[in-house]
Amino acid sequence: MADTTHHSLGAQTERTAAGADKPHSAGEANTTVRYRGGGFRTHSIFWVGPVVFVVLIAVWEWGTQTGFISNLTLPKPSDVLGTFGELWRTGTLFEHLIPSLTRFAVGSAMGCLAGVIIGVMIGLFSHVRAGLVPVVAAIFPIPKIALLPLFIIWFGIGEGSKYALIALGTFTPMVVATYGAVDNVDRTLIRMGQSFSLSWASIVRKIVLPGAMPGIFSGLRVSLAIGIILLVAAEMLGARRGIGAYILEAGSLYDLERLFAGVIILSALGVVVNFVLGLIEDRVLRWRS
Amino acid sequence: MTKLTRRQTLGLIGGTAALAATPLIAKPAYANTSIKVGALRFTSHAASFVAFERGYFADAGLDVEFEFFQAAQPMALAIASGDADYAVTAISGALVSLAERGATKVIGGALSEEQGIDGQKIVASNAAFADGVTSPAALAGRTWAVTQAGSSFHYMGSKISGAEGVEVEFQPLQGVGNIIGALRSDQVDAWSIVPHIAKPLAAGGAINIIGDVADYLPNYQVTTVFTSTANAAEERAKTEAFLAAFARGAADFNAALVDKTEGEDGAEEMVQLIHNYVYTDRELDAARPAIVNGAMRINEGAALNTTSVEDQLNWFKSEGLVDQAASMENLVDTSYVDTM
Amino acid sequence: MDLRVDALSHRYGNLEVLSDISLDIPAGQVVSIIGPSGCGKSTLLRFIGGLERPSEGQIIQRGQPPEGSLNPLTYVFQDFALLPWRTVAGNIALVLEDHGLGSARQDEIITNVLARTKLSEFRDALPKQLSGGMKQRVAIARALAVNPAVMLMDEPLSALDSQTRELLMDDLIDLWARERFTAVYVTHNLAEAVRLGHQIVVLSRRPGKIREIITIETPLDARRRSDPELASIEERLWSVMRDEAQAADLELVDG
Ligand SMILES: Nc1ncnc2c1ncn2[C@@H]1O[C@H](COP(=O)(O)OP(=O)(O)OP(=O)(O)O)[C@@H](O)[C@H]1O
Ligand SMILES: [Mg+2]
Repeated sequence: MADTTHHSLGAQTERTAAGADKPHSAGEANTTVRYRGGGFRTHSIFWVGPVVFVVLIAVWEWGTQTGFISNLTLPKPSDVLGTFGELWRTGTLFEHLIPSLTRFAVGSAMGCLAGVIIGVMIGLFSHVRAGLVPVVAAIFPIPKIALLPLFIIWFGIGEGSKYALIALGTFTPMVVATYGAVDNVDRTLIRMGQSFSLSWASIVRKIVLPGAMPGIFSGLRVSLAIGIILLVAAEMLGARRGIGAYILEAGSLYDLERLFAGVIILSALGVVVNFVLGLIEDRVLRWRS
Repeated sequence: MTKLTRRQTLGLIGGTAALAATPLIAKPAYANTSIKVGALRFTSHAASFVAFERGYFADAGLDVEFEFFQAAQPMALAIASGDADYAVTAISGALVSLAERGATKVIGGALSEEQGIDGQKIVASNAAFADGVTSPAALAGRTWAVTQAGSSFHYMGSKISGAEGVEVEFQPLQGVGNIIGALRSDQVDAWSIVPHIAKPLAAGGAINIIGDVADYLPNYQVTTVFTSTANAAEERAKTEAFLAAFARGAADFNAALVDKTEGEDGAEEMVQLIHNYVYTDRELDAARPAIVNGAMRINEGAALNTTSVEDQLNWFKSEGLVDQAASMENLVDTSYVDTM
Repeated sequence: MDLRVDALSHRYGNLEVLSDISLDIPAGQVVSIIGPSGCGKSTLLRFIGGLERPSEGQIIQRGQPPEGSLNPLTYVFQDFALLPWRTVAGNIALVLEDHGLGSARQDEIITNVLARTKLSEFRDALPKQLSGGMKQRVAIARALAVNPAVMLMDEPLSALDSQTRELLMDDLIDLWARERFTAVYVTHNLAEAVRLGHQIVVLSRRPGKIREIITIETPLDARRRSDPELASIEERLWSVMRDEAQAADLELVDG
């Protein structure tokens, strides 16, 4: 931007110099055309994010150290860090992380897989669509947490009810995303497949599914985030171990340091999941322009 | 007889309690001050209801507004945030943490376990009972329901299993409703709970009573009166007025339903009063047994059993549930009531 | 194999799109179809290829498709219709995979059609790496791979810039000179119709009827861009189409 401005200024000077001996009528001054194409375009500035983080945390630490922020309001960042150190040294971190990761992996794998299968069926078969879309629309807004006591009766207080809760929570957004993605597959590609007399199965496998992939991936992002949110809910009942249980326990003890440590672990989990998903997406959707 | 026992205890510990003169009779030292009292719709909160209905709060110059909660924890947070002034709750990890952070103070005692008075029950699910869990001694390797880690259920379970020398596994289920559901469907093995919940369930065959908490934790200070540190430190007159009115309510309640010195009519009148607040979704006839069953002694003069409180605090520390530096000084303000 | 369009009419609900179209498509010839926008050209092409059924009339096939034709009636689409997730070779393989040819034979066909369309070096490129003209050449290669009896081309060049269009037109003429394929070539562009068509069918505005069929005797490979005879045919076509196009342009879209 600065470059362009500089350039046009230079051009102007040059022109003025060249035209110096040409007669100019009075009052006809040369001006540069004003640049008005700026803004409305974001570009990534890599350092701003970290700096904002550091400043926020520094202010927070200063505030809690001086008592400007009372210890009832927020814990000291350094104490939260200390809690992390303790979690790490005592091995409690993995004691909580491993059950949670297992629940998250099993539950969301079941939910997402079932969601994709049902979503594709809805996308392909009018009868399935007519039958299941209202059902899915009815399940979607139910707060799954409310069903937890029921799941305990159905699947037991052990891992079953936790898997079921996470699975159901990830299932519905996945269904909706998938059939939307199938609907959005370029019809001309399907028509092309038909025009070459490809079999129905080939069209589904080679055209519909790959074409729905981008939509399925964005559905996955949403579903997995919901899966992480539901981890806390799933560990409400009958879990002594797990990040969700850890957070709930910290909350019920009003232990802010542990509460924050747990929440940070969850958001880190979210970042990692998103990152891994991004890597897979880059590979699988390499064809996207 | 039970009264005697308690008085004896009081006398024994009386020496330590000579710090403050307890105003047992309300005087309107503090006029027309509005306060918010946090409460759960449980019989154990009856002292406040009685004090309100019988005008003891008004006599003390307090204009009381009740703030009802679903659980003890949000109530503790409401006191810390200043949304409620006084409340009654079990000593929990959260209460200790909040006290350590200078937010809350225990200022008096409410519900107590007392041998001879029907108190909290130890219960087992049908499957566990059929499998031999007929007494707390048989709890080895069983699951014990708690609402949350550091709740009173956790404390009781830990103390009872400790006394029997057995290990139990604690199962956090967040709410009493969830626990009852889990017990009914044999998802957990055992629990301890106030008699007005335990008895009807046992009578209905859903669970089995296998023991009394009082046998393991005699004189257990189940619930305490607490307030914000600011109220305790700076609003002395208001706090004293509240405690005095509360104690009058407690005395009426004990007389009518625990010691039963008021006769049938007195008991019935008390049940009707309490029914305005508790089990409001049931007919009076259906609510009556639950209210009568739930009558456990509320400490006279809101006296506080500091021995029991200290035992609880030490247990929280030993379990790593609260800061190791947590102290009685931060938790309790003993200047208001008699301690035992 | 010849095709005949026999008294074909079609309506979408109340909208009459095509009316009484009869037309011969003899083997080895390119039939250009021109007509104003919305007159039903694409629709007609869909009927010819069996992707849709007309309300009235039929498409008659005379004779057998050539030996080894995997897909006798094969489309070339305006927007190429390449699978973006498959390479050039993969896109061609797509239309062969269902025929159980064996990978060696399949590979041989792919190599062959890529050579014929001068695409050999782009075998492993993804569509996003190709220019519009290249993409259409891939689509043509894909069509050739199934050894079609008739190619049904719906404005195959109209998504391309004019230079690319000229180049590709030359390629198509070369290809025809070598292979003598049969094609129905739908276009808006009179010059294309005149350069590539043995017959030029002019449709009226909607409902599309045949206004005129012009036959050009000059062999495709002998036609030059500056040929005055072609220019005069183009002029004549334009005079026929002008009024239709103007009227069509003024119609409400959802008539
Ligand atoms: N599936 C359909 N349902 C309803 N109407 C349709 C359908 N397909 C096409 N039409 C209508 O039929 C008419 C002819 O459409 P068609 O696409 O065949 O025209 P065209 O001559 O190819 O136009 P263009 O030159 O713009 O490509 C148009 O008015 C169009 O809106
Ligand atoms: Mg068209």
